[in-house]
Amino acid sequence: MIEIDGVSKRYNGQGKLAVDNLSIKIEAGEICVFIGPSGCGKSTTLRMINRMIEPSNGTIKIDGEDITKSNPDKLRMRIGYVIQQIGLLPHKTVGENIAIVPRLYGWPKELIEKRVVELLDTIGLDAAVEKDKYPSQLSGGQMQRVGVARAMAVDPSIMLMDEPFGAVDPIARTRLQDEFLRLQKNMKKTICFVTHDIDEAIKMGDKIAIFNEGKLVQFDTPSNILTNPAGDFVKDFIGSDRLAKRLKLISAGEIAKRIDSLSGCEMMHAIEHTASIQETMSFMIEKDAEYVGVINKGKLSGMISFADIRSYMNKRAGV
Amino acid sequence: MELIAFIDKNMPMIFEYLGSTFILVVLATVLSLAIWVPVGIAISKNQKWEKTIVGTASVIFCIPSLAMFTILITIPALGISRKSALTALVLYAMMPLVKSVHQGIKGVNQSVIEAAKGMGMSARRILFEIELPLASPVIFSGFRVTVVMITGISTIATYIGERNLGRLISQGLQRQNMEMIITGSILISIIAIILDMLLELAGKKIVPKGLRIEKN
Repeated sequence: MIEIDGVSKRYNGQGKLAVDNLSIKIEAGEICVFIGPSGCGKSTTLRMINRMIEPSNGTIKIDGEDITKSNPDKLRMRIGYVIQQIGLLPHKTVGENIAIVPRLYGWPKELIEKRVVELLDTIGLDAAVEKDKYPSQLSGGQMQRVGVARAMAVDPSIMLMDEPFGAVDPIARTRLQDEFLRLQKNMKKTICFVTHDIDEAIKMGDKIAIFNEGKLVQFDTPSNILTNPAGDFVKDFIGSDRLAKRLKLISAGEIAKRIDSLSGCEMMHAIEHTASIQETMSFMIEKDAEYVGVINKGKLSGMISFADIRSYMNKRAGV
Repeated sequence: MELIAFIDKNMPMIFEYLGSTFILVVLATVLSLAIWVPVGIAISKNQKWEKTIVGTASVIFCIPSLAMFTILITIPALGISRKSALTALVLYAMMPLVKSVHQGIKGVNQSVIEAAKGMGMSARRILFEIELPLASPVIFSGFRVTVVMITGISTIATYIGERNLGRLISQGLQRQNMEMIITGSILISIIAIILDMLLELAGKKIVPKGLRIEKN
């Protein structure tokens, strides 16, 4: 758990505070996304957690311990750090890059070897082929994956990621996001993730912290932020398609009406209960159907219609 | 040919001068590296001194070599001795070495440093395992230039008493002896060229492999 308490940062010669009296608690095992416009203080906040920047006031505690009690280098060895430009050492191989923190810890060679191969497999790269390549021989997406693997080398429980998927094309980015979410299901690391992309924040975050001009404007789950945005800034920042974004978060199973008998329903189109409402509506439009069935564990478990969707969303819509 | 006869007749003297040249060049190079590389590293870390040091080096570099040697021998501690010659050569080496070390380190990709620092590498480790290796191509090319320059200027040291290949040229001019002049000039040029070629080969070994790999 990361506790940021009354933290401010003022840079020399600047009138405004880069971070203004921030207090936030990031729960263990969650992905907390920091988002906001340029210069809002999200990256500064992130970098105060691993002491790349020192706060002007306030304290930051990790698992109850004040971070200023640790030597900064030792602290950073315990925290995974991924940056947008990745920063792979160009004169070292992929394997040597991943081995950096294990080497700092003094792990034995065989253990490091094993871990490097293990990590490359985890991030979807062929260890035998890629391990001895140099960064200049990798594609952007591959470099990004190696950057993430390198940060996970000693299996730190906390990871700080600053626009980690920003430097690749949208298709690669989606794949990286999906794979990272899949890994997180097992890893359950505490992750602080900076982005400027609201869709990425909604997709990746268990909680989202919206910053503006150094201040924390709203801190809540994606769903709550979409239904109850705290003021005009948040509304504008999310965008006018706020309600449409919610459609991606809610699944068909949540809205479907249960049905007990199958009579008259055999010929109906059906969709998995885990599909989002956005996918469900696309499906219904495609099949030109007013209602479709909802499948759970291979069996028809309910029914959903356009009217059902409309009244559900309307009831929950924030003003 | 008269040239070959001259060389044949004066082998011992030519060897003495060759040896003297080598010793002077090697001593000056080692001293220069020992002094100026740390200075170059220091000004990369401390902006404050950067302008002063680089400015001083540039001014020194502009002083004509004959004038430099002459001024130095008037200093009591130095006098007409190898010390003056070495001092002059080391002073001239300041510019290319300090500049190339400074530029090399400044030219290292900052996101690599950021990532390394964020992983917990100490400043010392970053300097020795990342900054210097990545700066090595630039530093090494500055080193090559320095060696060739020292070789050339070492010949001027003959005017303050050094008995090296420059002597063939200066005596040859005095006595109007073409064979002396040509022998001296060709030999010193060959040495400079050979040193440069050797350093080019050495450079290939020293520069980290990862920096020389071609992009796919």
